[in-house]
Amino acid sequence: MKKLSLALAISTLATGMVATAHAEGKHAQGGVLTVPIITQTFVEDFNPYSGAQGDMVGGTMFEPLWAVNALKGEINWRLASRFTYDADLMGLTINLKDGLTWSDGEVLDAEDVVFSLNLGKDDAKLDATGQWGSGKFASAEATDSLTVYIKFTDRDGTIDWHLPRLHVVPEHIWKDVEDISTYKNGNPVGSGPITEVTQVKDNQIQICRNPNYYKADEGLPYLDCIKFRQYTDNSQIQAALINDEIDWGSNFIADIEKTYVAPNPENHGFWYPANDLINVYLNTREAPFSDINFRKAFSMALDRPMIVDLAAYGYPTPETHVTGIGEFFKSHFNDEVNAKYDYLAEYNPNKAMDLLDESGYVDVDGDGFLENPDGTEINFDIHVVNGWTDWVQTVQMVSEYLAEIGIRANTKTVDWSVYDTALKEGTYQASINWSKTNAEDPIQAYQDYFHTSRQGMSWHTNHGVSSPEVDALIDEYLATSNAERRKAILAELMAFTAESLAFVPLFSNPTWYQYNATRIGGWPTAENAFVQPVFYESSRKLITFEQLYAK
Amino acid sequence: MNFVVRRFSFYFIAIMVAITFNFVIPRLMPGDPVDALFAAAQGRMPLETLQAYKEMLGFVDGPMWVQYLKYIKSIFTWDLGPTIMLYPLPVTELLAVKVPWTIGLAGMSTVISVMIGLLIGTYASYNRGGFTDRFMPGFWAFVGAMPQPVTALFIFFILALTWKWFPLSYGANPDLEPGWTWDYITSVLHHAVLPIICMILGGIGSWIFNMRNAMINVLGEDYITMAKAKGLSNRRIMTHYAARNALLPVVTAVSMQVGFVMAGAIFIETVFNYPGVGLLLFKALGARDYPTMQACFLLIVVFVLVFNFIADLLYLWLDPRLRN
Repeated sequence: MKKLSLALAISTLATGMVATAHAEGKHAQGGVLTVPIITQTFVEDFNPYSGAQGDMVGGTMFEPLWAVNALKGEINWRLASRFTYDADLMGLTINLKDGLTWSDGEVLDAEDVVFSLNLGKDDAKLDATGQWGSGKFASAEATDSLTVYIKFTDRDGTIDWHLPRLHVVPEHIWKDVEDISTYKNGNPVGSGPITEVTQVKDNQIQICRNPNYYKADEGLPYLDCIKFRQYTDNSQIQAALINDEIDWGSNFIADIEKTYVAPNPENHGFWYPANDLINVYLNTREAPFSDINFRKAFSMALDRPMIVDLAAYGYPTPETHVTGIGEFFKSHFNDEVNAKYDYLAEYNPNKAMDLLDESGYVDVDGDGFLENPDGTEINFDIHVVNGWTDWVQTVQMVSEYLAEIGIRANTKTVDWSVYDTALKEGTYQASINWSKTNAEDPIQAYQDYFHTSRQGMSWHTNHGVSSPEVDALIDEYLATSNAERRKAILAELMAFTAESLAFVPLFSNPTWYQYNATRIGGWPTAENAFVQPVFYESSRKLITFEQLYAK
Repeated sequence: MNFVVRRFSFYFIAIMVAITFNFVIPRLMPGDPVDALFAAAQGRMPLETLQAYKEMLGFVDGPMWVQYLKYIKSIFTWDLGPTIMLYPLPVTELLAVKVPWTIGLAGMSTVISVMIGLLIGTYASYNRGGFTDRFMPGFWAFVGAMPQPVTALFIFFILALTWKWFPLSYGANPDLEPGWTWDYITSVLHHAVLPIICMILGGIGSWIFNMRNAMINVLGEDYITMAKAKGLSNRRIMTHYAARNALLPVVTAVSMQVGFVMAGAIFIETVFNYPGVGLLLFKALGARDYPTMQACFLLIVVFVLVFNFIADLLYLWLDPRLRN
């Protein structure tokens, strides 16, 4: 006890001196941020590749090359100062900032980046960018101490989206590690704002200021330490937030205005900006979904704002377009395409019924529900995973809206493995799922929806709609850097999505984010929206953390 | 001696059967751990890592009987492999952190509820028809009949969340350094109060009933009448003549109770985020973490059987008639 407090006192003293030497920032330095981590127990493991505790060190201990801030549509430069593609898109040059050091004082240079990149070459588990596995990277080398050159196997203009996921690790330490995937990295050396581990217990870990941080002369980071606390589920985090024990929550909290905000409206707040789009995927290989008019009627039968309000506490953003991307990518919306198809996302049961009527759907047996034009009964299941309560309620409401226009649909709760297999193999009838609409670029969503190479791998591709032309468009997009051409391709893909309607969009999931301003200020909010505050994503966590300060 | 050997071989077979079930049951559940990991990640994890994970966690491991033999070997060498939830942390290391908390919780609450229960049971049966006899058994049976998770949530909500008399989670304040310091020990006790109260509420009714019924039987025996005739004090008859003999069946009940206490610990540790085996087992089930699940089940089975064996030996000592 005494030893620790002494050590703490010394380290605070030391960081205090750093602070007085450099403090030119907007806010004074000091203070501790407390965040919850859901796990069974903490262990002394600071390997960013460790599944269990990687979330704690990604970004804040291992600074990325750059961070993509999709909310602002901009790149936040970190270790790198810029990147340039070769004119033929067969390679990428990365320029590092000058004078970078590791937390132990050693120089951080291009060799470290190349070493980190090459880790993934032979070991899929360490392939953080996924680009060795996909066969895209041919080689990585340091052309001088501040320049890295990556050679591709094929034309590609999208590699910069994946590089922020790279954990840049110190070569001088990691080169001697035998098995990196099980390496504990007990006494970590990093490049991020917090690197010095001051406490490790089974329910609490504290990591403090990097004495050699490259942004120290800007007074960053404002906070001294992050204290990670172990919880085993959301409900405990809810209680801890209410009692001011933690500062930053990323969890679902039931009835948040009443349970969390109301007791302390000045300091307790939340902001749920749009995240990925939630769709009902329809298997267009079988009746009645094989009929585009049926799918259109399905979409027009739904009152999306009502579903959001009743089934999901009003937190998600109702989708008003059917072009495949949601609010997250609103900067990519194409008004021309949207104007043409937005009527399909509007609640219009009469029009839906007229459309069904015109297409030959009649109630033959008089039970109040329609039959297919060939006289067979319409009766299908919409899959949802057992226990995902907000989605179960959503699907129940979808079924009720469908019943109003005479379509019999059942909510079917299934186990994950059943759900997973049915979606990937295309053996479902209808199924609710998320989408890849919250990554770096909208093309990733369309690739995931339609590209034939994703069939059987993704949950979102096996609905029976694909075409060689669409495959070619997606491939062309990835291999060009021409912004105009990219925009034109996106417009075509959006129109294709709306025309084929292989999935019916419902709403954009919220980003779960609660903040407690009792001790800490600088939080991103709806008014101060500088980043989408996602704790479980190292880049966005880092951008958020950098703005936080002790009150 | 013959008796001991017979009991011992019985327990050995029981353990073998239990560990076989322990192997089979988790594998009958639908879904595998990697799928569960993906379900929990809700799309955050790239698809390409799926196969890598399967290999890493040893789930492409040959036929069932090879897995079974490996499993038996691992149990007898106490090498239970890495956990899945916290890969690559070994299961034994994880259990070593968790077991002391549960033993403390289960042990303290069992001792307290046995003591209080036996006292109330003894007193009630000796004063039949009195207030204690009419009120206590019924009341505590009623309290014990409430589902433990409900009792625990109720107590958690009022005493911890609303009134803030007791902490919300953990076994001790995480800011304190563990050690034999006054601060740390009081913090441990402070954190244990609510879980222990919940466990006592759930278990005490059966002790009162057990003891009361055993006592009533004994009180009808001739030697009680004889003791009364000798003019011994009521108190001496109650404790030295009746209660001592009535304890015999209660010893068996205590050993049987160990399993139930563990079951109760699952709910209570979950509500109070108490760092014990019960919470670990609950989470391991959700994550389909077979190695951890099996280790927890194994631990519980061994616990129950060891306590039964101890009870058998205790019987031998308490009841001379068994020795022949």
